[in-house]
Amino acid sequence: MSLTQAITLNEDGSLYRKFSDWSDRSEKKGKTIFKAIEAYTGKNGFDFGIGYDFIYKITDRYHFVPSVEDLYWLELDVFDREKMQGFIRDILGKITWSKNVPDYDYALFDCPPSFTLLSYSILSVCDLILIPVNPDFYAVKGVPLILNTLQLRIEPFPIPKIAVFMNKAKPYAGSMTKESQFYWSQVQRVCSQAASRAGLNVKCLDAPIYDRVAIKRAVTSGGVPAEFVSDFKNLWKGITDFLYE
Amino acid sequence: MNNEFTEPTDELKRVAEEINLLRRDLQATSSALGRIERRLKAAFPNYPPKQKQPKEKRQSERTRSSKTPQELQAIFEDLADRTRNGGDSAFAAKVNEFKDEDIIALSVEVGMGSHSRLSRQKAVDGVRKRVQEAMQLQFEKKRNLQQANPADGE
Repeated sequence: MSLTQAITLNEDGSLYRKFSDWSDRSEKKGKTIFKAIEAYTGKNGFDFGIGYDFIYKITDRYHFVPSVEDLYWLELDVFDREKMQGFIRDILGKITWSKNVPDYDYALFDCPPSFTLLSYSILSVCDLILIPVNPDFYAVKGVPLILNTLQLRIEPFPIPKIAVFMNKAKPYAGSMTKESQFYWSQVQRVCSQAASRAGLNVKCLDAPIYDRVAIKRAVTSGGVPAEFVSDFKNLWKGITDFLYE
Repeated sequence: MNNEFTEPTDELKRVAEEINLLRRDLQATSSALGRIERRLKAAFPNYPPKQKQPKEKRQSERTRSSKTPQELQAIFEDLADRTRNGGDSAFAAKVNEFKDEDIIALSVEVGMGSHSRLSRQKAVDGVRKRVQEAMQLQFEKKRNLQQANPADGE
């Protein structure tokens, strides 16, 4: 499930009425992220106004730019790769200077594991890359791969800070199971190698998100289940501490 | 002339009848015993008193390793390094030096089983699997794409 689906779907799988009405209006006005990319890479200059027809208000404090189906075909459209690199920087600039929306503290981007033009643009401008790792061999095997690919793709531009944390850690007696601990120790070793061999600024955050059944209720109950509050607070503290180091 | 001996076929019929009679008697006796037992159980629910099965004697507690988790981690790293350099024979040679309780504790420490269920062999197999995984989890810095294909950049 994509982040957009998680945020905008009812428990029966239908779109929230409020979101679906907003989404219809947004598409009719041509105020989607895809249209923004088209405008940015087009020949007429980046004329794209920012407002609440582009940004959806989930709550007063959390605002959201949803994905659209057109983005699935982004790679097939002929956009200039070099030009696309600056897209996120420029759209963030427009959002920052817009008087129609408030000043935001943080912008979070949910990226796929694969590299797309859009994730390339995000990685070129972001301050921190946050990588969740599940406690299994193949997920851990992905860590050196992604670290390597990140470096190859982003260079010669500066590589942002990289934070890794364990997601879906198996809980046992107030901590992780030995198996999860083993995989976490391997992640730490790989990150330490990446730091020393490639000079990456990688930090392993000791703030696991545990695998609990309650996470499945997070979407339908409209909030973070109580069992997860301290997990996410710890993670957020680790992220901000690293960000401002 | 009158035959004083019964014919074999008559003798067989007689034996078969006797068997039938005996079976009926046994069935009647068995059903009577069943009835008596049911009444007895209704009147005395705890009859006959259940005999407690003598508990199986617990196997004597295994000797636990005295090594700390940190020491076990260090042993694991050393084992992975040796295997990386000397292959499985180096692994086997090093593991042979360990006492049963230490290799079992090491296996538990790397998340392969619990103390009570592990034999030495299973523990060795578990540690071997983890060592192989650890060997595959390495960060190798790849060359820059442009360095790899300088012609691309021209």
